[in-house]
Amino acid sequence: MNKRRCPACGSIDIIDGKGSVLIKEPFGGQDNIEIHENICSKCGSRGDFFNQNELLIDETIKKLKQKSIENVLNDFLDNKISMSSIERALEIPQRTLTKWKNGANVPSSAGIALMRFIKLFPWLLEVAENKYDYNEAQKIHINVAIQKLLPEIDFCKEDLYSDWQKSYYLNYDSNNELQSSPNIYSIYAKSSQNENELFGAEDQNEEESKLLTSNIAS
Amino acid sequence: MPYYKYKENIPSYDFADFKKACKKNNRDNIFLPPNVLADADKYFNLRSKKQILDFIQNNGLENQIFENTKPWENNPNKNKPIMVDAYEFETWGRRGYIAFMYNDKTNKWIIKSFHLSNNWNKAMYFAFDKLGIFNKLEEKNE
Repeated sequence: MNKRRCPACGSIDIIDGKGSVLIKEPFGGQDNIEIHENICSKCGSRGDFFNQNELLIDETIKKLKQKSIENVLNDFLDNKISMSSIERALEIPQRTLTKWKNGANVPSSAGIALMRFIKLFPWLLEVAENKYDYNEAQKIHINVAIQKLLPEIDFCKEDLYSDWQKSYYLNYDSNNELQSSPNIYSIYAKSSQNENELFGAEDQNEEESKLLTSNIAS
Repeated sequence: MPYYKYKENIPSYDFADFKKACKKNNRDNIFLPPNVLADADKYFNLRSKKQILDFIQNNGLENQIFENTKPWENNPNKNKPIMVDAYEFETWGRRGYIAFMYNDKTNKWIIKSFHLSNNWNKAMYFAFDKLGIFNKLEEKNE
């Protein structure tokens, strides 16, 4: 059988051409490579009929992955996170990351994935430091989340109190006994029949709210 | 192998044969058009022919359900139809769609489509079915 046949219809009317493909890698950038493209003039199928591109694509992905690991590790160094401390926390043999960075050793896919997770969530190192204890991990996670959220909240905003009230009472309708999905605040408010018991006096002054802010922040 | 059955509700090919073709030694016999490679990367993070075929061969297409079999529309030889089998599958909570055909003249498998399924409702249906929710509802109604 003639090897140069269209895999779909078996025709030998094949036009050779060139195309390009953009390969992207998280933290590694992107590369546009030129690839072979065959077109069958009979059935219109197009693509790499004779597996000429596979090696080139694999090589490019490998190159970008190496670039990705270098960028991630350089980012750690820029943020004063030493490689030896990462290796210690994650119980990776010392100098592994240096070898990955220099290209002396090729990191496994699992190694690359781990480095990317640490890059995105550096607090995972803190979890590893605490020997992957579930409760500690939860505390670290929540702490990071609160620190991320705090700057977003303007505690000095005058209508903050009413905003809270609105959100807590979103599901609560005092005129309607049937609620679609009551939340804990609405249930409490319903039983007490006094909104002030839940949220304090309405004329809460600014100093009190500042005190509350500092307590939460600490 | 009886590849051409011309029945709409029965697969034209044995899926095990297709999976066998995805094995390392047989991969020259599988052709993936550029749209399949692009969709596999976009929807399933599978970035090369090797990754896609490894995924299929290692039972990555979970809970696959035969969808239909239809003649290949672009077949230049209308006297000898080539059937395209379509399946839906699940992977990590996503419902995917794969369609492939086999040409015995070239002895090659061609993956025609590999993307997310359009039947998202079915994904929910199967999830509920798996949990036995429909049976419970039926019992309640009775």
